[in-house]
Amino acid sequence: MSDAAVEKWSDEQVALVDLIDRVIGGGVVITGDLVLGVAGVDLVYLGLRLVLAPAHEVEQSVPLGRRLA
Amino acid sequence: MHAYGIIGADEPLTQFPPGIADTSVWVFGVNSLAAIVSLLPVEGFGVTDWERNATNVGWLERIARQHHEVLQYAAITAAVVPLRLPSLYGNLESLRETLHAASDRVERALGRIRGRLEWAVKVYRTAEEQNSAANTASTSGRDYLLARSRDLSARSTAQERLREQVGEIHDALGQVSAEYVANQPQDAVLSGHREQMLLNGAYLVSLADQARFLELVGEIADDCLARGLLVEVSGPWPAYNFTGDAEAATREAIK
Repeated sequence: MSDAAVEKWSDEQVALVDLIDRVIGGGVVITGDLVLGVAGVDLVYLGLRLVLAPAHEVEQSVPLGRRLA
Repeated sequence: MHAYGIIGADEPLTQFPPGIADTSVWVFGVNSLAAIVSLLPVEGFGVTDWERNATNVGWLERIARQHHEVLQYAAITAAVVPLRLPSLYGNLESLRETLHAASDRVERALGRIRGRLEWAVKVYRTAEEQNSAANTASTSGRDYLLARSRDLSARSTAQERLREQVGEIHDALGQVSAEYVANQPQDAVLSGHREQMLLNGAYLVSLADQARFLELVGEIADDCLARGLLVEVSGPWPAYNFTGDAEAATREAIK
């Protein structure tokens, strides 16, 4: 395989968006006595967008990390 | 009390990298399972802090990275079920009760990922169609409209073909995987790529098939270059995408 064709970052720092998708969008929930509601998680996603995206692009963007049907 | 993930109680894992807020991480056994935990400082890491910092990416990033580092370390040697952030418990007794109640579900999740690791493959579109009506020297408005309508139909055919190609790539990788799933592609703002993301796939690959999987990714990537597609692979990840029952998780979170 050619190195140019495949980008791989096993040993490098993980991209924040990939991380957030997984640690907040994936994994198992075993309910403790302290639970952040779904609305809270959406807020976190929104926060990420506000920082990474210029304001005018936020409105028309799709939610990230949502599993396709 | 923060829980990072769950492993089998018989796993020989004892040492971990520092956890959230540089706390020491240890293993807390509950019957046949063990939670990877650390005791967070009282101030700054409770539910109210999560609510207050919901839009504070810097705060969230530090937590997310340390949570992930612990899981990544564990996943190298053990089957680990990642817990979704935030995963907070008032004390060890509360965690014990919770884990005890969820033990069947966690055991099933462990069985699902034992001897397997997650890989991520993304496909981006690098080439754009250049021949648009706007660039064509049209002699009349009617010519322009005709050219434009031809453009639109050509573009939708091209889109259709692209979708098929990406579906074939996803399925080909799925053939070498125990399970696979297509997540919502990230938009350009978040992915950091200007190119449009066409596939955001996750693949659960058995340890025996890792080399074969990566070889296939390489072949597909080479093949894709000529077709204006860029392939990006990352991993191995802890099995974030293959341990949760999305519906059950949502129900629990709402409860």
